[in-house]
Amino acid sequence: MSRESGQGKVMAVYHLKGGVGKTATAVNLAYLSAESGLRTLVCDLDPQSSATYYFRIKPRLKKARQVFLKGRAKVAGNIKGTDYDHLDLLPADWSHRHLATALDHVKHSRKRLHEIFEPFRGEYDLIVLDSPATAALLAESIFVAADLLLVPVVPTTLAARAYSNLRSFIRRKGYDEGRIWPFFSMVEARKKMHRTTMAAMREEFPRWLEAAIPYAADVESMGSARAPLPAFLPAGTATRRYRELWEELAVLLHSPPSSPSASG
Amino acid sequence: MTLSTTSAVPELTFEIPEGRLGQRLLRELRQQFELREGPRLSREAVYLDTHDGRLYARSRALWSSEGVLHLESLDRPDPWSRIELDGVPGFADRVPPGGLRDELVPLTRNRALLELFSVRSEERTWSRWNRDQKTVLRVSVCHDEASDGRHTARLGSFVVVRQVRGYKRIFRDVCEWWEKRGVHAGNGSRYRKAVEALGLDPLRTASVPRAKLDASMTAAEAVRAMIRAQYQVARANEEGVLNDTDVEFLHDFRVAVRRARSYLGQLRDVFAAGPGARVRKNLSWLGKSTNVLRDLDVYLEQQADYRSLLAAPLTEDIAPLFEFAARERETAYRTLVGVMGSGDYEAALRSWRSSVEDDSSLRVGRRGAEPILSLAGARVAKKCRAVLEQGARLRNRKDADAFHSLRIECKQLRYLMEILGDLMPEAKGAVQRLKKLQDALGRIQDLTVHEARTQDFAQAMSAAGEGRALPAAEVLASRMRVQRELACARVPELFTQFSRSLRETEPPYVMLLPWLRQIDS
Repeated sequence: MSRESGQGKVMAVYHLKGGVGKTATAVNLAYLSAESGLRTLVCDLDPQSSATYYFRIKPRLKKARQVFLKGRAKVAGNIKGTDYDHLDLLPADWSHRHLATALDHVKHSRKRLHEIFEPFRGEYDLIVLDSPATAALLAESIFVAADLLLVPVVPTTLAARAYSNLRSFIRRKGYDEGRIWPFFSMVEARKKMHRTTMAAMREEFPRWLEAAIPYAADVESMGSARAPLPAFLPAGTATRRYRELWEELAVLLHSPPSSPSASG
Repeated sequence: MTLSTTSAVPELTFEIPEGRLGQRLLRELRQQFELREGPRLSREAVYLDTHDGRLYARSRALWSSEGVLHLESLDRPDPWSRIELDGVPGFADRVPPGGLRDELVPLTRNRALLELFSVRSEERTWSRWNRDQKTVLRVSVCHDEASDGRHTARLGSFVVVRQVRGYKRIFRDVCEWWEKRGVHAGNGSRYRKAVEALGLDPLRTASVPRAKLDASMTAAEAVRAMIRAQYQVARANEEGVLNDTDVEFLHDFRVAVRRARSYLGQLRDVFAAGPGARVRKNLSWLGKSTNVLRDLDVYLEQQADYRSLLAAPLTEDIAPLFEFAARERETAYRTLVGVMGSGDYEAALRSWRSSVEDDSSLRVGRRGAEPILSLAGARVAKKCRAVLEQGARLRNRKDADAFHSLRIECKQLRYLMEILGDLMPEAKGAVQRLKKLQDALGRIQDLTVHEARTQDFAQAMSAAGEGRALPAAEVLASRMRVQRELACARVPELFTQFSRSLRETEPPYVMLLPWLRQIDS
């Protein structure tokens, strides 16, 4: 990633569907970003607080209800350093389950997250948003805030349909589709259905990231290790795939922005 | 890859006592706070600066470690600028675009970035966990050693206590623990410690007046001190001239020679006439020996600007001319290396050095016992008058010689005014104005000389059967003339600003008021 100081990038890991590997992706990519020397912030927006758990941090925010409504100072005061150099976390809070509703009551709600994170672009080279599975106003706020929308897609019929719905939703709302970058997640190469679905989806949507993350017990073991995969299994297969994914993303994040944020 | 500015995550450095006491304190610290041993690290940071310490002069440290280049303030705990970069950049403009380069380029004016010293740090890392086995504090015990390639010096042992963001209390507790044991947090600047331990002077080659003067000095004492300082600057630049790493080594060598010669010439009655004239003659020879190389350095430095004066097809056609100039420069460099290895050169330097030693051959002259302030003040007044008269004459006479002559007068005046600037800070404003005027005059002189050089090169190339660059060279020479006219047009305004600044300065310039009034009218 090469850019002027003060212009860090925001990358959201997002999907309408749950259980597609969003949190594992956000945590592992954030770790690899920090490992490469970039100052990185993970924002756990999911009330399930799995990313927060992986980093051994308590899922609790001071004055939680105000954090995303009152601006920079409240966010800054809640950021925690992780065990890893250059990697910080804005923990999740159980109150995040009301975040979409709360955004409904503020002015310019779609731009809220964008305004919140804008000042942090000087402090961090990469801000990774671990998003909950939602299509509510929070999702739109994420679309506006993110320079790059990373979408993990499990190669199954239902997940393919969900991805197709997501594209339609984004197009309908007038957001920039050029910022969407899908990749295959939880891939079981031995399953014929996964292989054929991947081929069909590549045909329907030509632009995909090359790296595909396998379905692996290693990824599940992040819960017991409470650490990013590359930190405790640096040579594992899944780690290698995440590294490949990060290398592709580093190039994309390096390139100039495709267009200004859509207002929705 | 440009990285963000590093946020100022609090960290404090404690210099720990040597020997058993230090070891005992570290043991107690680990036990009391249940610090867990982490990996042992070995790091090396290479510190860079220009040949004349331009970053150090502006309280900045530039260092490269583990593929990342850092720029930090030496005075304030400002956030660092960082950028990922393989190796060390030879020049600031080779740093990838971003905040760090934007800051670095004006500071260094794109002079070569040279290795000043390196610091090797052997580091033991400890951390404190909370109940979730999460790191809430980091501690490093560092043993630092600095080296400049000639000498190595231990910088001591330090404990760096780093707060993990969001976990203030334990950080505060550990810092208080050290304070209670009489070990206080200090400025952890490795740079300053290394400079001191290695006995380095990053400004040693800078072509600025370095002698410490005070108003009670006699003229002989002061001038001797000034010439001695310039001798040291010239010697410090010799190696850089011979290695040819940055053309500014030669520039600063020449300025030191010129200043010394100017002091002796301007204040000539301070020393006995005969020996003083001999030293001046030697200094003159040293200066002349470097003229050709310096001219060609400046010519080639301006290459990009000169190419930009030409339209697209000609920018390509002119390339052989600059290649020719580069070959000429190589010849001039080899000639100078030969001169600097000669007996004449050593003799000239010896005569300069012996003139500033205590039992100097340079005997005190008839005005040597006068206070430096009054003598230099009178000389400045006289030289100011000469500059003002010459400047006023430019209204009628605008040939190259008139500008060149004014430029020489200005140069001499500036060297004298810098002496006063040391003794009378209020004179510094006038020095700044004079410098701007000099810059404009310098540009006129460069363009005059370079126009002639361009024509000479083109003719020489044509005679050698390389005539392709001839039409482009003719166009370039004519564009240089236009540029010179534009530069000449700026001089009257700069001259007026300078003369006004003289009037606003307290004595001794007040003596000049009659001439100033005459010029204003």
